[in-house]
Amino acid sequence: MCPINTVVCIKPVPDIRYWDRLSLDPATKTLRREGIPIVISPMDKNAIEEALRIRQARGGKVTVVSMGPLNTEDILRSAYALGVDDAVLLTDRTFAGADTLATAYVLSEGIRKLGNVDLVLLGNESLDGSTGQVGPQVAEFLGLPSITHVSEITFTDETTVQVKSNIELGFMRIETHLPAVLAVTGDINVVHIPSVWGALWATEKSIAKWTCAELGAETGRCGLTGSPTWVPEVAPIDVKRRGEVLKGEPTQIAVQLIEKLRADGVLPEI
Amino acid sequence: MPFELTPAEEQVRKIAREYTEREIIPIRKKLEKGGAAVWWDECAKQLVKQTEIGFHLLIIPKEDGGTGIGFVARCIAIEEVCSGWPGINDPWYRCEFAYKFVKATGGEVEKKWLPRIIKGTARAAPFMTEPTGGSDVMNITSTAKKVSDGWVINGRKIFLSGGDVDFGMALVKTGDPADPKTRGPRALSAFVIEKGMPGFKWGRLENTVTRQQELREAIFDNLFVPDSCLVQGVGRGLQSVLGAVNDIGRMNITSHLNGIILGTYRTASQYAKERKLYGKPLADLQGIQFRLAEMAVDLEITRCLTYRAAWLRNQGKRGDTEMAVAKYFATQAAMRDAMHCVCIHGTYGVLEDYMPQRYFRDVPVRMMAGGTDEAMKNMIASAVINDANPDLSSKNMQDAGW
Amino acid sequence: MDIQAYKGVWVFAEQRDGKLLDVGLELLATGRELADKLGEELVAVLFGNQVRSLADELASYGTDKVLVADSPVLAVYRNDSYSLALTELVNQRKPSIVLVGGTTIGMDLAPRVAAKLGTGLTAHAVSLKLDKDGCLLAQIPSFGGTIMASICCAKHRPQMVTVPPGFLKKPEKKTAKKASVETVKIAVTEKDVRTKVLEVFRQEPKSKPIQEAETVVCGGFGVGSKEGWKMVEDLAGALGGSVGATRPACDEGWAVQDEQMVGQSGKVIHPKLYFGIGISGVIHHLIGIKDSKVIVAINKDPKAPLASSADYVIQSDFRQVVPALISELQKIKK
Repeated sequence: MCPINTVVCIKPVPDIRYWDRLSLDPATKTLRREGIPIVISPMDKNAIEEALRIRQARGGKVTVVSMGPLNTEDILRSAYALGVDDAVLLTDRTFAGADTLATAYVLSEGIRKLGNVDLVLLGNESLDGSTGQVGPQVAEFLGLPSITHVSEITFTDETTVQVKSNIELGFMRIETHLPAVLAVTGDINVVHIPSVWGALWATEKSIAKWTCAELGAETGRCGLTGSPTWVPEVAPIDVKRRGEVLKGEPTQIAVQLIEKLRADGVLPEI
Repeated sequence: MPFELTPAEEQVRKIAREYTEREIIPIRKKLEKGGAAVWWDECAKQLVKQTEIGFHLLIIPKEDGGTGIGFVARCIAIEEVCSGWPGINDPWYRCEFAYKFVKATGGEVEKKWLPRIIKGTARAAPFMTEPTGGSDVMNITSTAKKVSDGWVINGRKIFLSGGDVDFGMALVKTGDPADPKTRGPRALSAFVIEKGMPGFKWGRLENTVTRQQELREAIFDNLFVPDSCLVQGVGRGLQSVLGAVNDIGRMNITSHLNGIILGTYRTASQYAKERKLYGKPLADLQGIQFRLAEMAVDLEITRCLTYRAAWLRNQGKRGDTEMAVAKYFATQAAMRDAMHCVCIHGTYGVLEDYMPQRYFRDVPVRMMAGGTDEAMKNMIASAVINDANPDLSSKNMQDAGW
Repeated sequence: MDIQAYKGVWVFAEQRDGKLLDVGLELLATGRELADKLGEELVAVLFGNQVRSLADELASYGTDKVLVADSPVLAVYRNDSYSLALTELVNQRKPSIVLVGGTTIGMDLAPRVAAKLGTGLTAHAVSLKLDKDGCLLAQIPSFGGTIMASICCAKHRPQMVTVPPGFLKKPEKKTAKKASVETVKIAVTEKDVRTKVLEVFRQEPKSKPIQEAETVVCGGFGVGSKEGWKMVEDLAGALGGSVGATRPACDEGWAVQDEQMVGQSGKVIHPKLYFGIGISGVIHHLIGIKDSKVIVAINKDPKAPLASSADYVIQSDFRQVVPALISELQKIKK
């Protein structure tokens, strides 16, 4: 069986344990992230783990790619600690302020430049944005088939994969041929704890950095300029518990409560 | 002496912390409620995970199949893991002892055991202490008599930790007290004794305050060992075993204590921030703040001392006195900080469902293991009196201030 | 892109196995409001094979028109066929707004279409408004719901948005006005589809361990008895959630400590929805639940500390409120 070269797209996100320290800059209406540790978005780690398993079975190379400012290096080192072969950081002022479309464009240019890619993996949704949009959009720009919500990947021959794609209350078993883009969920595997060799890989291996010019990307499609969506307004939601007292007869209370829970988006699907 | 950790050492802390959060913290209740059987069962499970991560490879140099990252990284790893549960690094610690012993012995013993050590399936412990007193090494009564192709050993060792290890390095008397050539330390030799050897038997199992039954007795009854098991030659026993105890043992125990200090620091500071009394967080009260400050001071100092002693080892230097200083400080600090932690938690500090009482109970064992406070002070005093360090001595009586 | 040329509010009404999903109907209600404010047409878009009867059903939900693409190539959802077909229709007819239900399929489809169209897509919108220029403003909560961002797609069309299911109310069926149904032909063929669906598998959701549950109903000492505890379990069942307990409830034998005790010395949970029934709310329990998105406290005792850490406080006897809740929930299910 031929080896499989996999690219894993990973996103730097603020560590969820410190989200209560994020503050809004009222002037620029952006999030102040200084001092908040950055980690690899959790499902992207599952994607790395899956790529490593495929490498174990089939051979080939695992390369991680990320778009971000220079300090994104830290998460690429964490990826090295997990055991990937190569890491590339796409970094350029032009990339800043990108929405999912512009991000997917830059990532696809990076993957194109890497070349010789059989499989692209990434987390189904990121911890902070959780749009789940980048996977299919990267696939579109690369002209590849994409499958999202992937909870299991099996190779049935050299270049054919069968995946379990989760849907509500079940899954679809879908077959496609490589090259393809697969967006994986958190239940696809359990990410291993890095070995101490990872400590050496993380500190000794080098990270390639590619700018917009080196990618040959169109500046008009990158960053804020290349983003059809933009954020005119950001407002903090008061996190304090509301302490709203519901009054009335039991049935009235029940009806009121259900309405409010629905509006809060926490009423489960029943 | 650098005041910064290397990037690899910082990565090791991250790895050790992830292991602790994912594997150790979830089993705390189980370990507290269970007794010795649960402890040893869990140790067997954790040995697999710890050696898969390769913690035992931190101090093994690359030539022998390790990572060579070094002793400072090892202290950091033990500290993080022990902040989850004191002493839970015991599984891989036994591989480290095994490595030290086989390198000291060389020959057949090294060839046989080194591959298993790298794989993480060989565990060892020093066999030193006897009823005559752990600190009173010279008065041990176990003996080894030369026979044609080996030695016959008779004696008894007590308070051995590590559980059912695969082999140990035993300190025994080979010298004749009447012969001036074999007096003092030259009367002692060290042998590698394997569990399966005929004449070897485990004896009494001791329960300590930790309820983990981690101490046991070993009995040597006309136990035959081949010549290949003699460590470095007749009369070289004391430096072999003590070398291992200082490098591997004392640094480990000190790091256990640092883990307790780190663990109590985390628990107490988090609790103080969340728990409200009189309508405000505990952390608003100055008395609590002073306790937290003292804990922070202790944590800072103990890390500096321990990492420095470990750093000296990384440079190939001895650092015995520095290690003794570190251990002595750590036991005192751990006792203080465990008490601070219990007090900050109020009655919750003494309930068995929470960690403060656990940290507190785990300190005294470490005061005895790896050399008591008194033994440490003996070593340190000896350095004060005997070491010829021009930086530390005065030129003459007048300069000294007489 | 000439924005002015784009007119109309489209709702992609997803169907699975010949049944219309609720989310499409929910979007039609909001779509109606937007279309009315803009003075534009509301169109429901339906894909499938032999779904004519569903199109007729859709026509009675307040939309102006139903576009049906009825073809074997659209029988089962596949990313290629659906995204090519929807893109083709959008390019032909140029709607200004396209709303898609945020089901797993909707979330798979919408980004691909947005990339093909080179337009903006906003996910998980919980509220939709129009700004003064008639542009769609989608509000999305982020960072665990601590920040609300408004997103706008000013210079590109169509403006695409996915909305999570169950967020908006289901519109009442209007039998009076029925929309026109137009069947459209699409150019997509099997040759264009690069994936094959081998199997669609249904399974009952496994009961999740409490730390992973999205809904947790916790009972405390105030529940009072095993009979009372049954109500706690029934409420959890009605919500499809897990049952948790405080230490005293475990001590009473109503719950299993190892699996169900919630608190500092038990499990720390992060559900979207938490109910505390008959729970006073000492710190050790609060620490276990503080990351819950919404906390509902039901306790007769007005002085119970849980009330000051809750979003909704019900100071009544749970024995009356819980059965009422269960009954109302069951009405929705039907």
